[in-house]
Amino acid sequence: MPSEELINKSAVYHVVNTADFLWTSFEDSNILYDPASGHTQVLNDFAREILDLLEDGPKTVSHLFSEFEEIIEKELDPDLKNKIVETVINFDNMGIIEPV
Amino acid sequence: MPVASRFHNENKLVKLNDSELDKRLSGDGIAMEVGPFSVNVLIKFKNVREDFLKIYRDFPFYDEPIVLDHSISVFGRNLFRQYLRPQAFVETEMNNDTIPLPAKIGMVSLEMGFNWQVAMGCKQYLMFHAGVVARDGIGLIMPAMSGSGKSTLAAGLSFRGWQLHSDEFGLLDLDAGELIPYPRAVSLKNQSIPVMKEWVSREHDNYEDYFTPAYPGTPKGTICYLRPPDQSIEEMHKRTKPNFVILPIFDPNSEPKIRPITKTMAFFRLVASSANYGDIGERAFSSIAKIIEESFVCEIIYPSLDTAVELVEAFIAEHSDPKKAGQDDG
Repeated sequence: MPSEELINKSAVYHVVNTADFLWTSFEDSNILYDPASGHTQVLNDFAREILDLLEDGPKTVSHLFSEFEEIIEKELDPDLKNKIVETVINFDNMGIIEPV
Repeated sequence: MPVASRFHNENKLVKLNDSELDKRLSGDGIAMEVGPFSVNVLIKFKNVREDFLKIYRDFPFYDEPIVLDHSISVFGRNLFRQYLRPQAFVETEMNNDTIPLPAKIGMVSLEMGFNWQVAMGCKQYLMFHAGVVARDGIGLIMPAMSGSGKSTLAAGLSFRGWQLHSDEFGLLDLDAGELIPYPRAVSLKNQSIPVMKEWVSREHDNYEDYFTPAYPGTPKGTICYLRPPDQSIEEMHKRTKPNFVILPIFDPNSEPKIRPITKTMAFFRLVASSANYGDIGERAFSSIAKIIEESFVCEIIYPSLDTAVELVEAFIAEHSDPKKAGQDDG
């Protein structure tokens, strides 16, 4: 099943504790500590970019698609859209974002 | 009454005569200093006292009242268990969810009590399940699962000039970012016992003096305890900043090799090895991030203690220029 069908595209997501996150980076990974949950997560640069976009303000998945298209200056292919959706779902499962 | 200083304590257990030691240990216990902790030790069984002193005879004790961090008593829960079918029960200041062991292996109960109190009660230091050694300003953390040979490797290095911080519990001062020595009995299991005896015998004619008797039939097989090198006990307050993290993997069928790992992997191995990371939270995260930033990291796969020591020393020699520390990624 395409990832897009797994998510409510009208839901607006925001980052729960932006100001409280602690970060460290090594090589191509970004490590995040969420004091609210006590969990430590590792994000690749792609996931970090999506979280950055959500940290700028609450967004739907459709908004993320269009902002990503502006960044890469071309239309997103289905694979990339699926990766964005999967990443948003993972963030939601981690508890670092939630629907507004 | 004055409270004794917890530092630079010159009173060593060995300075007490045998009868005094026996009387105190079997009476109210002796308050002693083990690394950063003060602990009162009371032992009701003579054989356990003898084994205990084999390991801890050079450790400092307090002759004046001291605020205690820990307390351990090893005793029989009733007269039957004290004398007829003696069974060593260990009581600490934590929930004592331990199974009594036969008194002839009561030393194992005592060491389990030490471990239990630190593992459950230590919240002021970041704790790693790791072998930790230091030398010439190099602080080496070797996080590993049980059975990876980390105790043997830490002990092996310590009998080749390294300061033994611990074979089991690495402790980090969160404010200073320094490793705190916590030298105790090195727990050797099964095949590692003859390996370490042979290793220590290369440097010490009286090598048997460093070992307790072997205790067969424990839940982990046969256990034997090794006294830390004298210098490591002398240097119990000498701290070092960590700058190397090496993940040891013992594989008797492998070729010895140093394998690069990412700093991300080393970071998460330290997190996974820490029993109190979740309790300490943000400061634990920041401390581990700083350790990894400033450390060289790798994995070593080794088939023997000789090769493990060679690999560790080769990796450290290659990166021992302090100006380079933390600048490479693995």
